[in-house]
Amino acid sequence: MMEDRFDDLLREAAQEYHRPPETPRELMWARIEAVRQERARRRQQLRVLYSPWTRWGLGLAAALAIGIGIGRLTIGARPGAEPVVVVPEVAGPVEPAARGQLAFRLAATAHLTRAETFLTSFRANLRAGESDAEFWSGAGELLSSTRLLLDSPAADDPVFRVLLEELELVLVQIVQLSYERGGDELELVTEGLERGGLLPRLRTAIPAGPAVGMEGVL
Amino acid sequence: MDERRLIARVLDGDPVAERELYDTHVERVYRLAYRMTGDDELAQEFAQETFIRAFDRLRQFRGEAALSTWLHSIAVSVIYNGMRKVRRLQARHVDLQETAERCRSPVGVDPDLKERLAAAINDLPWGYRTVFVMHDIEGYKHEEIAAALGVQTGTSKAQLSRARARLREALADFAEEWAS
Repeated sequence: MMEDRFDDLLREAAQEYHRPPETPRELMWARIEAVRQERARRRQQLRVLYSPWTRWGLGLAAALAIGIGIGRLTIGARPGAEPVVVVPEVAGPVEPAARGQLAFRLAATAHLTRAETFLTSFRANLRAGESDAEFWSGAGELLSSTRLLLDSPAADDPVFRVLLEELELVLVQIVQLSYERGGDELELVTEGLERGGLLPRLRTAIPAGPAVGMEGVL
Repeated sequence: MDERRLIARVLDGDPVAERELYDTHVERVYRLAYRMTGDDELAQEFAQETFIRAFDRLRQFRGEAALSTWLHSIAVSVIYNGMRKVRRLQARHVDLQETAERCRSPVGVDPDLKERLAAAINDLPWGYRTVFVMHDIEGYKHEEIAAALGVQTGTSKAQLSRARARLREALADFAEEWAS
């Protein structure tokens, strides 16, 4: 009896526990709309980035770059052949082997640009607590391309090799963890990203344009 | 308006229906978030995140339970995970804060019931506290609580009973004083 009365007293007193103020409906709705619009915009960007057309485009660009490199090598090897592009003096003379490698470097640069965009979106998506199947498939595709590039002459460049190896590690972690397995584990990936400073280094490695610094060299 | 029709309109991208769904449920979601966190910013953040997720996943709602139940299960999950992160961040400061508070509290002087009760509720394990807040403070039914937490109704009742027992225990000296 006394216990019941004390319970009633507790329940009454408990009404004061974290008594909520008036619900800020409009403020929260404005934020919800803003977040949803931003996420829709980002999803659209990723859809474009990972659309078959973009993939085809990037593949063609890489193939073209490699083709040009091989072509230039062949022309350069022919006695008496005139160079098609005037090589700027600052760039210095380019050896035929180096020309071939430059083609792979172009492909690697394009790849790092995609990786940087992906990792930036990954971090933002994780903070926002969202992801979708399309997003995860993007990580898998990037991982495959990273491994291909690691086996290519692009990886002869020590700067590219280190970046590609670190990128491979991060992508393996991302691919292995699904969003459903828990935000905490994915947070470890972002913490690792931030600790290792991979994103700033990727940004440094990517020139302002896809071929900045390489104009006229090939 | 019929809940199914409202959901169908939201899925068709009708902004008026989205706002209607939000207006119908926001009060309870925000109140629950505030009761569980005691912080306006966190409560707003968690309530917002609940609705953002709900709109994103509305296609997955199969209509087996009421929309409010489904929404509350999202809310409870958002609040729980959000508070885990907050506690992790706060853990570093706890020792310092506790030392400061111990120094400030005059020995032998009991704070009033509300303060002691608040402290005792805060000390309850997460499950007990959630059930106590939802049932005894916010007036949810055991069926609603059980569905939101993904447990049996009996579990919800048992947890409430244990939560109350813990609170009585924590405030035993006050109860004796009050009885006399």
